[in-house]
Amino acid sequence: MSTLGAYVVRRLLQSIPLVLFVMAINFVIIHAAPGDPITYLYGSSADVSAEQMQRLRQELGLTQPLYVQYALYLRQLARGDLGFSVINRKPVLDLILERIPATLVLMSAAFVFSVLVGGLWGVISAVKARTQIDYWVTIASLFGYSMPTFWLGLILILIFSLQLGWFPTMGMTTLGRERSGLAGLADVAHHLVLPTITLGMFYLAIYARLIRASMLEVLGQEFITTAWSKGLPANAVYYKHALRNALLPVITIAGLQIGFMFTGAVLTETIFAWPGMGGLTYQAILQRDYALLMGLFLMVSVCVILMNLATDLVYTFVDPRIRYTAS
Amino acid sequence: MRYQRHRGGLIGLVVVVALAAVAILAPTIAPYDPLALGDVALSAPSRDHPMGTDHLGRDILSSVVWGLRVSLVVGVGSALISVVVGILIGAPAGYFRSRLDGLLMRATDAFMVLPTFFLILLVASVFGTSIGKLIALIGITNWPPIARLVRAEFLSLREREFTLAARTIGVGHLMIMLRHILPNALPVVIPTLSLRTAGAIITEASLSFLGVGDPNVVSLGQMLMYALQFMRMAWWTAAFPGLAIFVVVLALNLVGDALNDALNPRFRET
Repeated sequence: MSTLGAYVVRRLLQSIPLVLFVMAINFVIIHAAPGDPITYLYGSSADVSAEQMQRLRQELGLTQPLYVQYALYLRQLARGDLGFSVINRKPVLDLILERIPATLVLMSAAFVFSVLVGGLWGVISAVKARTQIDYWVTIASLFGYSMPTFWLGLILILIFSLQLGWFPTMGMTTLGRERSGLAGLADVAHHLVLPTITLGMFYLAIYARLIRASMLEVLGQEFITTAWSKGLPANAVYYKHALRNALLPVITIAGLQIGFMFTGAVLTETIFAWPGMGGLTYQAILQRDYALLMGLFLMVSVCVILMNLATDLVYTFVDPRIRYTAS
Repeated sequence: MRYQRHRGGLIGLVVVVALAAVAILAPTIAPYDPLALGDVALSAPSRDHPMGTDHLGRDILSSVVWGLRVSLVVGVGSALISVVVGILIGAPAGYFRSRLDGLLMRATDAFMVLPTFFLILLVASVFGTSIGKLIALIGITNWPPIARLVRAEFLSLREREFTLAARTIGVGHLMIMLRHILPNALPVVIPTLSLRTAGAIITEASLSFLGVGDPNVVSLGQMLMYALQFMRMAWWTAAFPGLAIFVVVLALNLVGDALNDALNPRFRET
C-alpha cells in the first residue's frame, strides 16, 4: 500500500474513538435525562402505545446493564437507525438526509465567498501594510468578526429585501413558480445571495485577518528578498511566491472552521427559512423532537470529523514538504 | 500603526467600562420595567421610547439595558470557567509532559472537534435552561483552545532558569506551577479572557435566538427571536438589540487584541 493510502487508513481508524465518544455523549444524555429513554428516542410516551413501549423496551434492552445497553445502542446506530421522529412520522436518518443538499449548497457558497473575498482583503491589506487601505480593511474585518450572524441576517433582510426589494426574504426557490433548468438555477442563486453573505461574513473576516498575518510573515522571509533582487515583477512575487506559501496555515483553519460553520448554518437557515439541516434543527428545538436533535448532533459531529480528515489530506497535496509515514 | 491599534484598544476599553456600568446600574438606568406591558405595541422610536416598543408594548431601551446585564454576566461567568478549566488541563499537560500530556491533549483534541454549539443546544433542550446552567454549559465546552495555549506556555516556561532554580531549592511541583510558572503565563491568558467573553456573549445570544435561552430573563438574543416575526412592521425591534450585542462584542474584541499586542510582544506583527 502506498504511504498516503496507509496514512488515510490510519487517520480513519483514529477517527473511530472520536465517533464512539460522540455516541457515548448521546447515550449519556438519553439516560441522564428525566423520564423514559424511549421518550427521547421515539417521542413522548403519549404517542407510543403501552404495548409498543414494552416491545421497544425489550428491543432496546432497557432492562439490561448499562454497558450492554451502550453496545445495543451502537448496534442500532450501526444499522443506520438514529431513532424515529414521531412528530414527523419518519425515521430520523431520512429526515436528515433529505435536508443535507440544501445545507451543502449554502455552506459551499458561503465558503467560496468567504475564502475569495476574505483572501482578497487579506492580500491587499498585507501588500499595502501600514497604509490607510490596510487600516480600513483591518477595521472592516474586525467589524465582520464581531457581527452576530443572526443580526447581520436580520439587517440584510431589512435593507435589501424589505426596503429595496432586491432579494427574497426566505426559502430556496420561489414557491408556486418552480422552474427547471437555467431559470431554476438562477432562482436558487437569487435566493442564495443574502444567506451566503450572512453565513460567510464571519469567516470572511477570519480569513482576511489570517491571510494578512500569514502574508506579512512570508513576505519577511529570505526567499522573497531573493525574488525581489532577481528583479521579478511585484505580481509574481506577491502571488506566485508569497501567497502560495501564505495559504498553508489558512487551510488548517479553514478545515476546522467548516465544522463550526454548522453553527452559523443553523442561525442563517432559521432566519431565511432555508430548507436545510439548520432549519431542521430549529424545527426540532421548537417541537422538542429529541430523537431528531440527537441524530443531528451525531451527524454534524461525524461531518466535522470527516472534514478534519479531509483537511489533513488536502495538506499532503499542497505542501510537498510534508511526508506521511505509515507508522 | 501601533498608535492606531492602541487607540482601538482604548476606545474598546472605554466602551466596555461604560457598558458594564450600564449593566450594573440597569435597575436605576432603565426608564421602564423591561417586563411591564405597555399601552402601544410596536410603536416607533419616540421621546418616550427612544428605541420604540416591542410586540407587547414593552420599552426596548429598558430591555436592551437589562439584556446587556444578562449578556455580560453569562459572558464573563462562562469565560472565567473556560479559563480555569483550560489552566487545570493545560498546566499539568505542559508541566509534566510525558504520558499525562498525551492523554490530556487527546482529550482536548476530541473536545476541539466536537460541535459544541449542537451539544449545548441538545443538553439545553433536554435538561432545560437557566442562567446558571447556560454559564456552566458555555464555560465547560469552550476550554480546549485555552488549554492548548496554557500548555504551550508551561512547556516553554518549565525549561527556564527560574523554574530550575526553584526546583533546585526543593520547591514542590504544585508550588512551582502556581507561584512560579502560572504568573508568568498570565499574559497569554488575560487577552483570552476578553476574547472568550465576546465569544460567549454571541453563543448565549444565538441560543436565546433559537429559543433555548433562559425564558425567565430579558435577553438580547430572545428579543431578536421575536423581531424575526415583527420586523416587517417594526425595524427597531431588530435593529437595537442586535446593535447592543455587536457593540459589546466589538469592544471586547478590541480590548483583547490590544491586550495581546501589549502583553505579548513576541506575537506582535513584524
